[in-house]
Amino acid sequence: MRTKTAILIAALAALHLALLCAAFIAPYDPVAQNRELPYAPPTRLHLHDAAGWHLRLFVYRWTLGDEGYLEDKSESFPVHLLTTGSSYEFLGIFDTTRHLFGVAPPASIALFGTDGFGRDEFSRVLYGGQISVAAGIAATLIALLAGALCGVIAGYYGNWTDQSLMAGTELFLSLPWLYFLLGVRAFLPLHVSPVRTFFLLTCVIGLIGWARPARLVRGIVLSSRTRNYVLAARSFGASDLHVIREHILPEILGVLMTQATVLVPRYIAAEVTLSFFGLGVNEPVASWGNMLSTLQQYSVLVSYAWLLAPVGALIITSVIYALLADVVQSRLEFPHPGN
Amino acid sequence: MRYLGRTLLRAILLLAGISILCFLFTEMAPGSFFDELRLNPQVSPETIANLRSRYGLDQPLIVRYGRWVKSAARADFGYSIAYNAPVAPLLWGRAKNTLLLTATGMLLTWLISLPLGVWLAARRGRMLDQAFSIASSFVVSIPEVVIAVALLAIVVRWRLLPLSAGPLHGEGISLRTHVQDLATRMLLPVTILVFVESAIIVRHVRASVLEVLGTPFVQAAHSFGICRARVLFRHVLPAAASPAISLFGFSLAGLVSGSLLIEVICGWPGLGPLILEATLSRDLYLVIGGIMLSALFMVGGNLIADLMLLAADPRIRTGALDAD
Amino acid sequence: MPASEPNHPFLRVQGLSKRYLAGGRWHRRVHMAAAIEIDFEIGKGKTLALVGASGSGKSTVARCVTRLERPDAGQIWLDGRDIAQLSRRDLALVRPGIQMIFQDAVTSINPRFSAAEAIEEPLRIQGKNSSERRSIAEEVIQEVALSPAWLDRSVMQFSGGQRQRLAIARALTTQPKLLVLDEAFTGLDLSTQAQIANLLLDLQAAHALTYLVISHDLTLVTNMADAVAVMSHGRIVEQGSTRQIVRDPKHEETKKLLSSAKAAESRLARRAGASA
Repeated sequence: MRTKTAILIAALAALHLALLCAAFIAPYDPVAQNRELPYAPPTRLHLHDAAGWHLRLFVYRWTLGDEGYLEDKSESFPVHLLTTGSSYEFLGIFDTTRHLFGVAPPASIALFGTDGFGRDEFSRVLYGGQISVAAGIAATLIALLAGALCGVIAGYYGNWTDQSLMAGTELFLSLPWLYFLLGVRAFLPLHVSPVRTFFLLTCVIGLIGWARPARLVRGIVLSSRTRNYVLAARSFGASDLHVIREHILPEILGVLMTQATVLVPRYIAAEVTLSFFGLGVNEPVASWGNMLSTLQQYSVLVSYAWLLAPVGALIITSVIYALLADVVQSRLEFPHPGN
Repeated sequence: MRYLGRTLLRAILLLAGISILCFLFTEMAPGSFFDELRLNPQVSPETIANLRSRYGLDQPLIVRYGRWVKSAARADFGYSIAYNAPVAPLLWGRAKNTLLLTATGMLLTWLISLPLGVWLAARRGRMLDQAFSIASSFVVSIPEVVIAVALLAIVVRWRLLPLSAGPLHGEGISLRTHVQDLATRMLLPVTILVFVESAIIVRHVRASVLEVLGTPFVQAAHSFGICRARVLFRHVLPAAASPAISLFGFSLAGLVSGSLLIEVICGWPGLGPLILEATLSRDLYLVIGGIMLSALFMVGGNLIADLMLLAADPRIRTGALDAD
Repeated sequence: MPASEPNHPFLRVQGLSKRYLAGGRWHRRVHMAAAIEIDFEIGKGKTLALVGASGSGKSTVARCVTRLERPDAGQIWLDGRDIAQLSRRDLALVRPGIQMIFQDAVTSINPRFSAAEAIEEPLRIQGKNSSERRSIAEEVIQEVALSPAWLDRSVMQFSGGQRQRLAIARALTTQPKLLVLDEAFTGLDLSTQAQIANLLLDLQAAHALTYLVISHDLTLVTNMADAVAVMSHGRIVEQGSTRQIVRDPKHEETKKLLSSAKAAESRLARRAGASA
C-alpha cells in the first residue's frame, strides 16, 4: 500500500512539475504559427541512416508535396539538449531562452505534430495543461475554502444558521451541474482578457461547488463538537476559537484532502468542458478544452489522429488523480472510539 | 404519510429556491442581449428602450419575478429574444428530442447494467470481474467530454457506426424511412450515453448486491441448503433493490440534463445545443427556461425515487431508519 | 467575604436548580427538571460522594458546579465566592481552581494529541509559554506515577487506566482546589479502579484537594468518601456521613443502592471463591 501511494504521488508530482516547467520543456511558443507546416504529422526521430548508427537522435525536415508530407532526407538535423530557443519568463521570475531540447531551424521537432496553423501540438499540450490543471486546482481551493467555512459555521453554531446553510447546500446539490455552470457563465461577460477569463472561470466553478465540502465539514464539526474532549477543554475555559483550532480543524483537514483528490479532476473536466464550448479560455491561448473543440470536425478527427494528444493527456491526468483518491480515502480514516 | 408530505414540500421549496436563484443571476448580469445590440450602430437607443419595456425588463426585480412566476404557472416561460418566439414551445420541441435520446439510453443502460451487475457480483474476484473493475474505474474517472471525443474518434476512424447530419424532420417521408433515419442518427449518441452510464450503474448494482450477499441472512439461507439461484432471486435481489431504486431515480433526474455534451458533439438537435446557443448569445429567458426545465426533471426524478423507495422499503414507512 | 477557615465549608451549594429542554421537534419541547433545590456542602480537603441511579441528576449537578452549565437558580459558594451566575470573563479567573475528571478517559482526551499536548492544554488556554508548560507537565506526570519520558508519546499508546492518569495530570496543571470526578471509575477494571482511587487519595493528602465524586457505584464510594448525598429524580433524598448512610439508610433509594452494591459484592466474592 505504501509503495502504491508513493508511486502515485511521484507520478502526480512529475506531471505537475512538467506542466509547471512547460515553458522549459516545450521547444516552441504555443502561439507561434508556421503556415508552411499545417497539420504536419509527428516528427520522426531517427538513430540510423545511410551512414550507419549514430549516438544522437536526429530528424529530417517535413516537406509538403502533392501526396502529403515527405521527409526530406537530404539534410539531417541533430536533436540538441538544453538549446537556445524563443525567449520566455521562467516561472515568472527571470527571462531565459533555454529549452530542454530542440533542433536548429529550418527544421522543426514536433513530437505530437502540428495543428491547422502549424503550431506545435506538443508545446500546446504542455501550455494547455498549465491552464486546465491550474484552473482545476484553483477552483478546488476555492470550493474547499468556501465549503469549509460554511461547514464550520453551520456545524458549530447550529440552529438557524445550520438549517439555512444546509437548505442552501441542498439547493445547490439538486441543480443540474453542467446546466447551472453554463447558466452562470452565460451571465458573466464573455469577451474579456484571458487572464480575467481564467479568474472568472475558476471562481465560478469553485463557488458552485461549495455544497458538498460544506456538508462533509459540517458533519465532522457536529460530531466533533459533542466529543468529551471538547467538553473537557471547555471546562478549562477554552474559547470557541481554541476548540475549533485544536480539536476540529485537524479532523477537517483529512476530509478536505480526500475531497481535493476528488474535486481537482472534476474541476479540470469543468474547465475543459467550458473551454470546449467556447465559454472558457479562448484562442489563441491554449487549454486542453479548446484544443479538443477543434476535434469536432470529422475531417480533422479522421485524418490527423495526433491531434488527439490532449485526450491522452487528460486521460492520464484523470486516472492518476482517481487512483490517488482511492488510496487517500482508505488511508485517511482516523479511528475514533465511539462517543 | 408525513414522510410523503415532507418530501413533496421539500421538492416544491427546492423548485422555488432554484427559480429565485436563476432570477437573481439576471440582476448580477453585467451585460445582456441588449448590450450586444447597443454595440450595433444601426440600432437606435430608442429602439432599444422600446424593446426593453416591451419585454418588461425595466421593472423592479420583485415585480419581474412575480410576473415570471405567474406566467410560469400558465406554462408561459417568457420570450426568447434571439428567436423572437415564446420560450416554452421552443424548449419543449427540443426537449422531446432529448428525451427520445436519453430515454432510449436509460432503457438500454438498465437492461444491460442490472444483469451485468448481478452477474459480476456473483463472480466476484474472478478475472472478468477484475477486468471490468479496472475498465470501469477508467471510464468513471475520465471527464465525459474526453470519453465522448475519444469514442467519436474511434468510431470515425474505423467506420464502426454510420453517421449522418442534417435536419431531423422532413416533409413527405414515409414512417419507415423516418424511423430508420432516426435510428441511424441515434446510434452514436446513444452508444456514448450507454457506455458512460453503464460504467457507473453496473458498479453500483454490483456493490449493493455484494453488500447484501455478505449479510447474515443470506449466509443463513445458504447454510440451510437453499440453492444459489433461489437465494439470488428471492432474497438477494429484493434487498438490493433499494439502492438500485434511488439510482433509478437519479437516472430519471438526469433525463433532460445528462446528455448536453453528447448532443452537442454528435449534432443531435436536442435541448443541449439550444441552451448552449442561448448561453452564447445571452438570451436571458431561454437560458432560465432551460435551467428550470432541467431542474424540474431533477427534482421530479428525485421525488419519484423517494416515492418508489417509500413503496418498496418497509423500513422507511415504519420510521425505523429515522435518526433524530 | 471571609476566607476559608478550618470549619468553614470549601464548597457550599444552596438551592441549585436546573431545567433542560427535552424532545426533538421544536413544537414538542418540554421542560424537564434535572436538578431541583440541591443543598450540600464539602469541607476543605474532604470528599463528598453524590450517588444515585442514572438519570437522577448527578451529572447535572456536576456540570453546574464546574460551570459547564449555568444553573437556573441557587448559589454555588466556592471558597467564599458565589460562582453560580458569574460572567464568562469573571469565570476565567475562577476556572483554574476547579477541574473535572470525566467518565471515559478514552474519549475525554483527544487521541490525536501527544501526552504532553493533552496535559498542557489548560496551560495553552491560559497562555503560558512552552518551556513553562513543559516543566509543569513533567511535574504533574510524575505525580500521577507515569514517566516523563512518555510525554512525547501519542495518547493512543496509553491504556485506559493510564489515560485516566493523564486526565488527572491535566487537571492538576492549574493547581486546582476542587476536583469533580464524574463517574471517573466507570469502564475501568477493578484493579485499575483501586489504583486510581489510591492515587487520588494520595493527591488529596498532598495538595489538600476537595473532591466531589459522582457515582452510581456505592461500594467504590464508601472507600473514598467522608460524606454521601443520595439523589433521586433530581432531588437529594438523603445525606450524611458515609458511616451513617451505610449503617442506617433511611430512604428507599439509599436502601436500593446499598442492596444492589451488596449483591454485586457477593457475586464477586462467590466468583472469586469458585475459581479458587
